Amino acid sequence: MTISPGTTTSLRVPARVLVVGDAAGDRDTLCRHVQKEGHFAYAAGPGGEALERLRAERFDLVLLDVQMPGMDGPGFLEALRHDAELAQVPVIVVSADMDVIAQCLESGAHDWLPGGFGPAMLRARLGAALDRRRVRDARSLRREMDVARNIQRDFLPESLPVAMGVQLEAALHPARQVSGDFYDAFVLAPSGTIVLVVGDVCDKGVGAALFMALFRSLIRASADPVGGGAIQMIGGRRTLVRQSLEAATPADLLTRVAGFTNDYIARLHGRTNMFATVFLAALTPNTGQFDYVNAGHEPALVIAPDGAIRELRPTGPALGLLPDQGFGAGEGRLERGHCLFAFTDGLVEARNPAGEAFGGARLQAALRANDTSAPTLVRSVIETLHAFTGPAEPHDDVTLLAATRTIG
Amino acid sequence: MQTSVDRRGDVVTVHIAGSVDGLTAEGLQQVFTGELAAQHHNLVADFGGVEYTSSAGLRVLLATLKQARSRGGDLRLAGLNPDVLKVLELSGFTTILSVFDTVDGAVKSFGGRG
Repeated sequence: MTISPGTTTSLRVPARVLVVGDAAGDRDTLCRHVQKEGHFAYAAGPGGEALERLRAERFDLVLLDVQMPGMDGPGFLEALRHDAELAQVPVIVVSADMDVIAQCLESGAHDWLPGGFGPAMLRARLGAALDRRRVRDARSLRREMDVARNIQRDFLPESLPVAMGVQLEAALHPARQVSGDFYDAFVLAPSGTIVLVVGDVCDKGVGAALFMALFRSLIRASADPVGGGAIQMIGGRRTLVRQSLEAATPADLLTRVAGFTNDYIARLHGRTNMFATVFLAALTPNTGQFDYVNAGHEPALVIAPDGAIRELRPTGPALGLLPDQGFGAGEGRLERGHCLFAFTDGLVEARNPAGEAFGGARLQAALRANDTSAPTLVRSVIETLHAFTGPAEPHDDVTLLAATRTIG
Repeated sequence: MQTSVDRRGDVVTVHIAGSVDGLTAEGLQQVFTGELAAQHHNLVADFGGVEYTSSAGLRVLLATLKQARSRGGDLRLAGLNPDVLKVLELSGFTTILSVFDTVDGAVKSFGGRG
């Protein structure tokens, strides 16, 4: 057993240590030693009492005092190992008897202290055990987050639709392992209308990521009940429903999708107070005609090849705030070479090391700097952004979606 | 972010200074939750000292607004700087909650009991 260099630093974070033994006086002495090292110490009698305490509260470490002959160290350790939760808690055995120590190590104890140990030895053993536990916890959390990130990828389109006359490009850069941003692009059959979605769930991290999956699914399933499979629910009336959906104008469809998604979140998940700002557009590739609903989102932009920029401002509030909100729709037309560019606020709010925000003016300059093809615009905006922020940690997710009309 | 609280009649004003972001939003939520738990349902959030709010801050306003209204009270905002007001307007928050130029105006809007 060597003293790891991390030992002293780890002691700066106080741990919760449960001292288990059958002699109250010895337990109290051990507790005082542990407290002197800057940790919280709690005492419990052996067997059921200690197990109950461990199940009820979170402890970082158990100090098991087996100095008294009546104390069944191996028995206690076996009981711990049979409980999946408790098996994770490291145990240090205290005994003067090397045979007892050996039995306890075989029964799953992580380390030991001889009777009559001094403060330096206690500090070293506590520190090493707590360090190991922290590394294991961090590893297991990282594994879980990797799994979450991989699953989350499945909530973004695997590829963007290829449609005659419209070129699409998208990018999503999460600030953390999982993201509250999302985008989507899909073609409605048989009209060929392309639905474009960019959304930003409030806050960041795991909570936002869970709701990202929900928002994206509600939007996709309600906007495309045929492709998304929701229409199967209606059974025999399939043809009629399909006809009624096809008769709806794209603007009707988008406002219905916004209303449905808003009410679902506000009514069924009102307690969590989660909401998302979402830009939705339905683009007809043949004509370049598009309708949009902007639910509390950053204005999307239409960029003309001559550098003229039109803002598509909100037509309703963010989705999920309160039930029964009204959503309007706007419309426009993409001429040849015009680009519809939607993004999340992580782009304009990104900061450089001096604390300045990227801002709308820099974005517009980057959009005017090159030609308006979708891949060029997305690439040049991302490059300009990275040149601006430098190595600074991104403070929010950044998502871009560009649709450029190539005919007309 | 820092907060201070004062009370006029049955209206409690929470003065907020600094940035309301993912790190500080929870602290602000605790202040509002504490006031609601103390049966103070008529709340004014004084944004006079707030230079930035993220969506995490908006979420706190939404939660507080809904709780206050469900108990017969309300949350009203005052003193927003133009940047913060723009964020609230874009996201539609100005359509679901009342915004006043001054704290005094917001407090008096509760019916002169202040």
